[in-house]
Amino acid sequence: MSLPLMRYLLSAMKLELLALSGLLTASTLLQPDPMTSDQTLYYEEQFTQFLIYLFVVLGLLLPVRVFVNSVGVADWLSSRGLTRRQQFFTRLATGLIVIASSFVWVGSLQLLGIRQFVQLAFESPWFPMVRWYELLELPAFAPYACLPFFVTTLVLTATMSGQSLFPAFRIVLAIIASALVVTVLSAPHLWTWMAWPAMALCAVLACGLWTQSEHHSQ
Amino acid sequence: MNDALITVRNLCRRFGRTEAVNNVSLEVIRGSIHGLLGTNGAGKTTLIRLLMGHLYPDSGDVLVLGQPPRRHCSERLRRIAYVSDQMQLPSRSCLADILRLNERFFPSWNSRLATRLTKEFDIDASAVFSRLSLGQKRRVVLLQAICQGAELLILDEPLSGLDAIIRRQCLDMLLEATVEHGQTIVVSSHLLHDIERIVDTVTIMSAGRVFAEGNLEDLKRRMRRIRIEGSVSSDQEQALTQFRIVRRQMKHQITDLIVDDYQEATQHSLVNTLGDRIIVEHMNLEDIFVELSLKTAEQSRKTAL
Repeated sequence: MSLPLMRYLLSAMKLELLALSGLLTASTLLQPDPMTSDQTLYYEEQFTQFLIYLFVVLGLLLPVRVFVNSVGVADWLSSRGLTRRQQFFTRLATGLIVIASSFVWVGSLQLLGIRQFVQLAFESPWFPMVRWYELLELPAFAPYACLPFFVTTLVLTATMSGQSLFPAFRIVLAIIASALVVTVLSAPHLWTWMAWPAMALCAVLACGLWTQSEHHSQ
Repeated sequence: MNDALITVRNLCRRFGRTEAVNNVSLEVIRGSIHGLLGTNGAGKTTLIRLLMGHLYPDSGDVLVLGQPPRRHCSERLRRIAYVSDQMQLPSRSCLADILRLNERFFPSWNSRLATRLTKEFDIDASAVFSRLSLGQKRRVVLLQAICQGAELLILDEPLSGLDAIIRRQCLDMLLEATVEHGQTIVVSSHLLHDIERIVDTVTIMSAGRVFAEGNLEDLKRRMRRIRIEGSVSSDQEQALTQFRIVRRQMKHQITDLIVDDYQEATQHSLVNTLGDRIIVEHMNLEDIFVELSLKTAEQSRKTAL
């Protein structure tokens, strides 16, 4: 992994990160109804939250920002003395750090009671203290951001491999990837056994594609 | 000890039906400046991308710094500086940011040289890259390649789109890199007048093939244009057979012969045979390139027929 590359990638998307933190803050603080203790058991309830969709969109868009550069800049980055493997893992880690940071950001907003403070100012039906089960929703959201991130990474690397892959294989890969996302998002009860192995598989495949393919213009 | 930084043997690379690089072999010696010359589409960029490990060869061997480029570890990759014809730096960053970033990427980064060159080029270090002119952008790209502290610089069309003064400045910078810092340079270009000033050895390509290579001075020494006024008799024709004639052209009662094994010693015998009707002219790199290209094109046409 390369810290200078990571620092560059993060600085290159500082505007987007700023917008993301704004959206996360707004959707966390302005959540209209407080959770009840039994809600953590029902994923359908969680689906009504805007925050989940925000994490899904983040997972889908982040790989594009992290793995794709304009032709000229891709050439520049490819000549910074990094192996293809180093470039892949640095980019992957950068994406995961952004996802982790957004969870930490939302978590800290919840933990510090800022949500309660804002909601009570508007006379919403929130309890003035942070309740333990309110913090449990966040870990349950993790696959909503991570799975789209890994799947999009795989689809992107397959697409960027360009001439190294048969077109038919790219299409099959895109179908499998889309099916994965749709299945997991529509049947969240399957997460526990399916999401994490699927992510690991996507990461391994994407790494193989990135390191073995020719460098065109990532 | 073999002092070649780059060794290419029988390298081939196809894109569909197009043979972009066809059976190319070359060697680049440490401390030299090697010119890769050719028309557009000659295969120079593909060859450079094969040297960089950005593309895989279909067959043949490439060794850069003694290893196939795809096996290079990061330490070895840092010893190679690369500039592509379309290379851009991050558009939102200013020169100062880019120099700082490069310092982090490359432990051998020469910041003193970078500061000096920035002043010489008169570039505002706080100006955002996207606002620089094309000439300034190309100079910044070259500057960072030179200051990287690499042993080998691979430059793909670094001078294209630049005016004569900036080209001269860039060439001086490259010469300094070789003379003072001992860097080896492979530079591709179609600006032959400029390249001629700095290269030691050349590889001239057309349609993916190498049709001339070697030391530039040797090439210039052995290639001559022999201009003969009037027609050539059979006896005189016999005298000319001692030369390897690359191309022959008759125009306005003047016969032009391009020979590629000329020696000063043979000039006397030519004068004896042809009298004062001959003029032997030196050829510059551009003349050599054009004549060899025309010869190759003629040969290809004949083969196609």
